[in-house]
Amino acid sequence: MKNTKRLALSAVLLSLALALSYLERLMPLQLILPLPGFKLGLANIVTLVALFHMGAKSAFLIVFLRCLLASVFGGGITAFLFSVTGGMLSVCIMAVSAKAPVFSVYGVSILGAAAHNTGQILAASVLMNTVRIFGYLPYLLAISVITGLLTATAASGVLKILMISAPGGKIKPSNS
Amino acid sequence: MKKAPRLRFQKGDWLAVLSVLALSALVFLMCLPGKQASEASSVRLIVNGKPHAEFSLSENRQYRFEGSYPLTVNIRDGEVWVTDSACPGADCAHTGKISSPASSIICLPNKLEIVISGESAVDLTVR
Repeated sequence: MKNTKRLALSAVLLSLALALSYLERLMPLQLILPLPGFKLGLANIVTLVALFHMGAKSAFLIVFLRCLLASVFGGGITAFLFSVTGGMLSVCIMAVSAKAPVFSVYGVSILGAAAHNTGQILAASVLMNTVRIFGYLPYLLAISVITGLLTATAASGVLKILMISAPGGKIKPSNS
Repeated sequence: MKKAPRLRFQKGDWLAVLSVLALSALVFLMCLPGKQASEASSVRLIVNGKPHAEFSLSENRQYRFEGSYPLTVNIRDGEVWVTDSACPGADCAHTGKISSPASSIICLPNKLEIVISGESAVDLTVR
């Protein structure tokens, strides 16, 4: 990918990630399931697209900037520490697991969602100086399987279209 | 040509599902609350890792916590719950009632933990 195109695409993906994480804050999900930290992880769709379409470096950058900018626009330093620990752990796990041929986008997404929740609970336990908060983790992990599948479905759709529209592309998605 | 990304759910993905569920079960077992509360149980409020207040679990009372987001802690018939939380999420109030030792209500915005401990807050008395 050319540098200019890379820059433009990164910028678009970053703003999309910011918009999605803002949208997610408006969803009253806690009313359905009152579990602290429970969310769909819509911004993870963007991370997956960046990771599979542009590579690990771009994905890292987009996640870091998303966390930074999201807390600048509203949230503050505590929110930043939470999201950056979760985000960085998640993108690390996803970048590694994307290299493993066993996993498709779906497996990578589930592992990423689980890592995100684990990272946030870790950050919370350090900030609050307690281990009791780990009591929420089993539920968050179980739900991350479902949210991971959902975000992977969305990301897979986006990636398919990106591959068809790529110049010199029309690469068919492999079955295995 | 660049290798096409794997976009369909494949057998190996079950490995991800199973490992996350296994981790979930493992953490769940590690966090299982202990035995039933005894008469000696107490309710402890911990702010930022430091003890803030302590009440007996068998004594009915209400306590108004004045933090950055004030809330009310209710203790009645061996159960503890939070009402009137001023914070937007009110996760602590949604947690519901707790009654067994090692279970807790956590309020992140206040950095507050409400814990039932098996015995008094004094772990060890040195004479």
